Amino acid sequence: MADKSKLTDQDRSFYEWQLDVPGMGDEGQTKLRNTTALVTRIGGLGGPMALSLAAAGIGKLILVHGGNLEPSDLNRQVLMRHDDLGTPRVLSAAKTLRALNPNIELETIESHVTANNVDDLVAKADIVFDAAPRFSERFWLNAACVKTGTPMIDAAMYSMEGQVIVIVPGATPCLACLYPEEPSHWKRRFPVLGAVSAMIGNMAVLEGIKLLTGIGKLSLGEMLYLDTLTMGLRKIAITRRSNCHVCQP
Amino acid sequence: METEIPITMAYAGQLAGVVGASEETAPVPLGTELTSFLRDTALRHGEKFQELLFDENEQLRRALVISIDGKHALDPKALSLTKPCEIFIMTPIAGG
Repeated sequence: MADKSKLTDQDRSFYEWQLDVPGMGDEGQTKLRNTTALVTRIGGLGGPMALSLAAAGIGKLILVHGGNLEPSDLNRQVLMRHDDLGTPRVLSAAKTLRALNPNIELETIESHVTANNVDDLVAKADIVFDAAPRFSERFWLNAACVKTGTPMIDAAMYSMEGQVIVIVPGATPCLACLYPEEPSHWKRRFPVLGAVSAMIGNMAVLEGIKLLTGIGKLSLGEMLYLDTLTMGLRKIAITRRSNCHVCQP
Repeated sequence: METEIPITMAYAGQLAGVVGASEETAPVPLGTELTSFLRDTALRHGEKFQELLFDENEQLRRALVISIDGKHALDPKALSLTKPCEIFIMTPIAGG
């Protein structure tokens, strides 16, 4: 078995430009290579997340997404290709990622996150990137991450806006502190531009890479909110709910 | 004479689309309860806005993200407006 604690010459040739980022170096790159990241789902937000994680040299990606590719997915789902219409999205995504970086390990799960599979999925990961459109999925992931102490980067978008929240169990409020109940009037279908989802997905990846490698300053206990109409970035300090049913004993 | 303070509302999520602007400022009597201010704002902006902010029992929806001067307001019902501030209010959004 290959020694994963040291970078090879091939690794250095692939990641040369990012190894020079202050604080990254061999140590940061090795941390990325030894990380398993779960990305769910792999649509408008999760696709760019998976793409950037693969390009950065994450060790293993677990891609979770059910359903086949539809024409209306293609304005934002950058891992998908027109030729793959009607086929499982997760397989289309894996094909693109393999072509981009054949040195990372990929696992595909052709299903959405459910109450039944969430614990097993989260148990496999060192970090979770949550791009799920349904609040129920986000809440299951949040609860499983809090239970196992797994960090989770949650991303969301609407129209020309988006938000990213870094959840580090024990150190930050959790998603249920921000949303104490499932919004009854949330609609699955909403407006969004692909460039917005890519931008927000990449903000999430940057927070994840910072968390994994220790570079920069993490936005802990904050919701990052970006309005791309004005390019205004807000940081909203999130407060932990003393009666949170997920992260409080 | 009643003292008024300027309150800036910043709207995100579905609210900005309903209002047609992402920000507006209004003078508000000092000490007005936040919920009462939001009720008045909702009346001004019509039924859709009202529906996004308040549930069928006319209670503020708990999944709204409300922050005052950048700090998450956990219990908006307990707050009053005692100084000029910016209230950021956002309907819940998700991935996709």
